[in-house]
Amino acid sequence: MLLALLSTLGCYKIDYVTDTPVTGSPTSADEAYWNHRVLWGIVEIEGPLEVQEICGSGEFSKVHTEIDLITGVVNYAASVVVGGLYSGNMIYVWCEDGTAYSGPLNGQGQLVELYAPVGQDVPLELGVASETCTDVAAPALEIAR
Amino acid sequence: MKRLPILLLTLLSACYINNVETGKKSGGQSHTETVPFLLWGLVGEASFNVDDICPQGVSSIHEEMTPVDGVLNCITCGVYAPRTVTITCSSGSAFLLTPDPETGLVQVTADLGDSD
Repeated sequence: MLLALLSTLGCYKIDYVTDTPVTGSPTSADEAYWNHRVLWGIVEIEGPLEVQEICGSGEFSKVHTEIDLITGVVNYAASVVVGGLYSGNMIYVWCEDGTAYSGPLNGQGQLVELYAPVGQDVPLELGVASETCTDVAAPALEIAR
Repeated sequence: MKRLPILLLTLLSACYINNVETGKKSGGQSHTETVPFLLWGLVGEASFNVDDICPQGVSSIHEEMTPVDGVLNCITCGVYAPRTVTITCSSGSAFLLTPDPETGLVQVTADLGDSD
């Protein structure tokens, strides 16, 4: 019971959510990333967290950052032992279902091309076209408004 | 003069950064907001709907304790411990296409004004 209570403790909790609802605790996240920093948090040892490496398309459903119990204890110990030279926190990522594609519109509001992430097929029927490729022209696809 | 190292230390400690990048090209607008945490961050939570902030997609998320946040944190001994969040939107238009599992068809929607 005490352990469960302690596990819910956390500091500096921030969520970045999309319109796609996400349920579940951080343990259900697609990625739990421990962001290690040095020099009072100025330098990230492993650099920025790259969402596209986790989610493929780069589309996340939710990103949650916090200093949880474990990182909090480590941070406290680091502050005592090395004067705060080290600090860290957790970043959790839930990926978006589906695949993100992008493309330009022409003057009539038509999607003229689709670009998929490298290595990602486009298994879509686009207007009159029905193709599986990574760069497909779709002149017949109207944009619904 | 003896206070100079303390001041420098305060400014240096004002960082605690988190960077998240999506791989999308930046170039859209940026949204910066200070999140007011209390009691060393134990009290307070923030939630940002990035679809509202960046309809075309997010390029990056940056969290930090700015120098101003650090000074406020310092003079209140952590009772008020704000963090600053900057969400940078991607440029251009992007669409999330999820095929219908039965028909395989996709409906694409775009906000008015995206048709450039």
